[in-house]
Amino acid sequence: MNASMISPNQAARFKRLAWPFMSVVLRTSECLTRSSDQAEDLAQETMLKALRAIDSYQDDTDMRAWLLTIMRRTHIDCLRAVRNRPLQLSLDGTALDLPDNEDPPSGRLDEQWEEPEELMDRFDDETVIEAMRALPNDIRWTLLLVDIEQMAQADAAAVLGVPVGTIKSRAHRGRAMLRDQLCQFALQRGWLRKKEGAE
Amino acid sequence: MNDADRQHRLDRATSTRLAKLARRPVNTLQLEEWVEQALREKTIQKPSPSTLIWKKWLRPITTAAAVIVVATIGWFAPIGDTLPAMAAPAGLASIHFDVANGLAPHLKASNVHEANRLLAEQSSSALTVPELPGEIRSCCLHQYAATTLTCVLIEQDGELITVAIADLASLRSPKGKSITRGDRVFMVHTVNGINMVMAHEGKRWLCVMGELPIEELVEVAEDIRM
Repeated sequence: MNASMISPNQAARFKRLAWPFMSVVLRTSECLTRSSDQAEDLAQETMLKALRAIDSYQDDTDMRAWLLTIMRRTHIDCLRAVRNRPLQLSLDGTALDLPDNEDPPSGRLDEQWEEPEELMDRFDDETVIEAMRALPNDIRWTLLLVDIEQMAQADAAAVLGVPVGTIKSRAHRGRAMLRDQLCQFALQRGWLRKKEGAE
Repeated sequence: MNDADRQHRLDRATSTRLAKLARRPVNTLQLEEWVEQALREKTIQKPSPSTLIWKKWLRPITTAAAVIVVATIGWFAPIGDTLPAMAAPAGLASIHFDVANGLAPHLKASNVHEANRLLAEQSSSALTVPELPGEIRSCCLHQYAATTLTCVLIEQDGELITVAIADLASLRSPKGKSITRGDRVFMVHTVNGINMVMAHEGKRWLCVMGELPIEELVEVAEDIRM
């Protein structure tokens, strides 16, 4: 039997358990990549790996977390492959990882946000995703899991293989970085006027 | 508002806005089709129950019998066309179960033209599907009794029905109760709660099967003209 082949029972199990999360996989992929083609490629690769590994999935665990763990590894592999080919364009144009002890500039423009809820809702989905794509990879993954997928911090920590404390600090830092990105868009669109003293 | 409260409010507003992205609709059609294709290519075809029974019990006996029959035919007459196989209701019921439950590799289709196009892309042995009643859900090809069954899953009044077509030269209906409607004769069988209505028309063998009552399946079969 060819090792890459699967049995009808494995196929049925995959369809029953993983298929319903297809939209989660594609939605996450769209936030990680820069084009719909790249998003499809990443989602396809993730589903293919899940199909091959369906026997390793344990029934009483979270299928969404399992699929996103596969996607995370696949994404890292893609980024590494692209990084090793410098003449080609990067998959998402951002750094692979950001060291947690590094203090990136974030929240520089927080004082611009007078009515944050109102301003946040003025941004359409595409703009928010665009701002997400500009964030470092691990920060972006943290926001994807914790804020978009509403995963418990412990579950997000398991997917990303880091302590819960790291998730907490990344989430806080990531939101501030996202606000900075969105603030730039808001200033460009004339929704905000730059206050004196702000960077 | 102090700094901590303000930071908390900013964080909450950001988190709330991000959560709304989870409700953004995504078009998974292309991905679903791709995964379907991958499943089809990577799944080992399950032998039908009739094949398993054949292998387990009948093979030694029938091999000997077949040798005698073939030798006899060879002695008395030149061997012409291959004789058609007899459709086994139990095997067909198993196919309907797999097709209706999405357990068999299949292609999503919404009309006959799409089904014919997809099936033709799969294999040159796919037969042309005629106009069908009800709403088409999916289509697939099944290897059955040394021939290719062209199957289409339709839905009528919320009930799933499998329409299977084969070349009459390679598959025939087993004897059973028959129902005549006008100039057409339908042979009916029931196995494991699955009803099936079979017909021979022109060069085609047709089987309509599902959990609907026989009479309703006959009506569906009547609407199918090869």
